[in-house]
Amino acid sequence: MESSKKGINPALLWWIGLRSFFLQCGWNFERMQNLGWAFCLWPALKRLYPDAEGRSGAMKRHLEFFNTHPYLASPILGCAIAAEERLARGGGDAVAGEAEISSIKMGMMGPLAALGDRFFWATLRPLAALTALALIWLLPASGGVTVAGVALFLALFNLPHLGIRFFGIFRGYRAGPGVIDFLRRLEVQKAARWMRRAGLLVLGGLLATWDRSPLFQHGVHAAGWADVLGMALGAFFFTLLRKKSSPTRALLISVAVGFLAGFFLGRIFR
Amino acid sequence: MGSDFLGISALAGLLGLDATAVFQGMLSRPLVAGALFGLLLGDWQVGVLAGGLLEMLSEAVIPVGAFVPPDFQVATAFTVAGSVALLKCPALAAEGVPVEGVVALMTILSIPLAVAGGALETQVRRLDVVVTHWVDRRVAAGSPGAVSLVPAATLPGFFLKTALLSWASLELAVPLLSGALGLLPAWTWTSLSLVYGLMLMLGLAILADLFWEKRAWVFLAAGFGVARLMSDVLHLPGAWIFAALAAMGLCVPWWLERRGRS
Repeated sequence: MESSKKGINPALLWWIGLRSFFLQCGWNFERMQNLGWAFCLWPALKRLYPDAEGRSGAMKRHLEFFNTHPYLASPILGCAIAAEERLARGGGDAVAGEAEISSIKMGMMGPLAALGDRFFWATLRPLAALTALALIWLLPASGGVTVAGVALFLALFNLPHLGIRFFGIFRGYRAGPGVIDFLRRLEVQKAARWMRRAGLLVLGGLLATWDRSPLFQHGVHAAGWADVLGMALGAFFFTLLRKKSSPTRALLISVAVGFLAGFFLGRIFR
Repeated sequence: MGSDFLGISALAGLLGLDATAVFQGMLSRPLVAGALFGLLLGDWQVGVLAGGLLEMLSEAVIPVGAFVPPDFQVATAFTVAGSVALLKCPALAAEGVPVEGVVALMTILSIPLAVAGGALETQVRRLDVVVTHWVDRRVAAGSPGAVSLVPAATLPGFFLKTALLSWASLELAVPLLSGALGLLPAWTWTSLSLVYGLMLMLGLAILADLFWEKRAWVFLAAGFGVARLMSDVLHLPGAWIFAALAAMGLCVPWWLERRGRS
């Protein structure tokens, strides 16, 4: 198997980082993100293996099952590129080298998926959305404030997202599987706890002031009784959700109660 | 109306690519897409009322593993474009129906569409298995570069399932609704406004459930107390309240961590 004299350079890693946006373009039920993973790695494989046989052999390794959080695939990409580079340069057991690449992927995808899901989907995304909604609800209602709120949401979410995508690939390339220890030292769990508490503070503020929002024109809560009903049901919904009840059930309850309250109470308290 | 629906549906299809296939930078989220659709259709208020509500409701859905979430891009396009179109109908405009009521109705109707969109995405993902096998054959034949064609082969499926479903549902539903809604009694619109408020409370409850942890009551009460004080006692405008909440969000947890209280 021939190897190229040209190695992996920062420009190639940046290019692969950009291609990582397509990690899920071929998502399928058989091998999940395998197509996107192979698409991301292709420029590195072309660089490392100038011969067709080498490229085909390497590509076969990377069409196996792969699934992780889309942003945290970047450290795994960096590790895999470094391992492929060592394998392409030779000087070791090829079978062991191929096994190392496979074990890197299999070993890292699960823990990083759990980390990414908990941090990005369950904490950062709702916090960014809540902060943006608070801005839109509290400030004078206008198109400009709406745009500012949306921009705030995208900035709060995408700064960490893009940071981990591009920084992760370089870190993974340099540190190898030790990148997991690096991520552990970032104390992501502590940051997530901080964010949840910040979210609760903002949520408390919104509960106190949502009925004064200039955004709601037609008195969703124009009547005092509607305000009380809303807060009471809000507490009820929260209790249901803490008991792991489906949000769909709560949604159906809100529709039913809203119609009944509008029909009966609206007439009584007109 | 027809060209608006086509344009919004095409845009929904493009933004929908961000949900799974490309980027995942939250451009497909209801808050972003709803605001954008509203601004383009000339009614930002509808956009943010619908997008904000759907955003909160959709936070309950976390895409883990092989789970295919409902298609919230279809729901957002349908709710915003449909609400804007209905509010312009002479019958509804004359009655002065509340905006929140119309948005609530369209949101409720959009939910089965979102589920249908999720079912369509399941089919798109099944079709991608065919692409996987095709790439396997090309690599075995000595052409590993075929993997570069994967986005061209797979992205149209993700685009079309959102765009076509949005467009078809708007073209079918809005003319039917614009004829029927004028016949509804006035109390229905009061009820629907209430439903909007209750769905909003559900959205806040979903966010509270996501953030809940030990001593959560302390933080919730602190935010509530400070906001009420600034609003009812000091009569400060909303911008000050937002700034205070943001500052508290940044500083209070940090201070607690420094003091070693977890």
